[in-house]
Amino acid sequence: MRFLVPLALAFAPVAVAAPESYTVDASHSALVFSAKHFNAGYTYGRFNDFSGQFTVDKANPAATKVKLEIKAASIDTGNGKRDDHLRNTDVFNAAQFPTIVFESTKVAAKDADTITVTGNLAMHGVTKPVTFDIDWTGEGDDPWGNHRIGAHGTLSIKRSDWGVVGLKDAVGDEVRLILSIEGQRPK
Amino acid sequence: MTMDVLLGWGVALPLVVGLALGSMRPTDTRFLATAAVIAFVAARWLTVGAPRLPPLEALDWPVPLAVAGLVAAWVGGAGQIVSMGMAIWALSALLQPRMQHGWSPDDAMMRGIAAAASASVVWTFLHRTSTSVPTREFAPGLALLAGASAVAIAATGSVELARTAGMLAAATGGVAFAAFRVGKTDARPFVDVFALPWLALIGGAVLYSELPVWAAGAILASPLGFGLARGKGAVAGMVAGGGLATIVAGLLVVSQAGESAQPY
Repeated sequence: MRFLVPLALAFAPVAVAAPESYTVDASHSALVFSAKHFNAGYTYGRFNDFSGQFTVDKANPAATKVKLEIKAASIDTGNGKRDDHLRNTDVFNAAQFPTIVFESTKVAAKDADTITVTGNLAMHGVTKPVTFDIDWTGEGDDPWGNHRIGAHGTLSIKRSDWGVVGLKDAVGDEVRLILSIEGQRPK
Repeated sequence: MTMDVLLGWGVALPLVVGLALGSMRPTDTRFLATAAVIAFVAARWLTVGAPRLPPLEALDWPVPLAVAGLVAAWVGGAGQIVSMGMAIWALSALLQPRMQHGWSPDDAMMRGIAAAASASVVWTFLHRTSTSVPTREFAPGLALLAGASAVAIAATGSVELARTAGMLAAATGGVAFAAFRVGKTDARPFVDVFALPWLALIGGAVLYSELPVWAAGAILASPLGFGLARGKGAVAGMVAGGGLATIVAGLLVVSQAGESAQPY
């Protein structure tokens, strides 16, 4: 009879975590950036209009997928005139390149709470790969029947790599990005 | 590099190169036009970087258009076809993204037709005038026109387009000094190398910066002063037209914003 035990275990139902698809809750997320001003202090800003989806596969982190779409014209540095300038052809040229898109191509688990994401960042008519870490910051249920999960990541890019070369004296080439994302899905 | 150094290079280099190369063969206007283009391209390359080819956005167009204008100047009659083809290509390339993202087809169509019609009129006018006004009077006028455009574009928001217009002004102005030794030669080669990048700068500032359409129209119309006051009054007419357009553009933009210009 002993041989029946492993046989029974082999056919027993196994709890396999299915990939979970989340929609970015923009009102509880933030895309913040900073760049040096005249090589002195850091000026901070954010993008107010963005959307995205991501799929979390806890059993197989490599299957995790991320896609974010940002409206370049929604840039907000707390100064309207400066924002107008950043939207024009000197920097983002938002009339010609209205969206900034990030889409993951490869995800690997770094540790229990961190994944390393590689993907393509399309901005200003140029698409280039970037790699950065994302920490899972927590998860919970809201009273409206949704499950929520949080993620936080930072990365640095050189804007000149994307052909954003204007105002090179006033605005530093290195731009630091902070992504604080909250996703939601029905329970 | 600091802003001062960049601006210094952007203006000083075209002046020096233009003077040096222009003085080598002052009897042929095409050599002067070549000097102007070399000075302009070199200044852009040093301050902004290598030109991006194929051109992707408004800032990328002035350099290849200046080179195309130079080809047009050297190949003579066929050059008209070359520069016309480049003008149509550049205009459609500049308009296309705007039509794709943001303008309704009707709106874009109307603006496109208005821009193309204005550019064609101004270009034809410059060409016709250039055959009757000597280079030594025409070149300084073009330099002043580019300089006035630079001020108007800067006043309405685009530092990079304005800086490029300033380089065009410096390149044309540098060679204009040498043009004083040319005598009463045909100024058409100057128009070939100047008109396309200048029109692209104005168009780019309207489409992708905040230069108002009426301000662009005023700047484009300023060469009319050149034609109305021919001969000794030609340069004065250009200064009056360009200067007036610049001042009006600056004042109206400031009044529209409802605030004075403040650094940020």
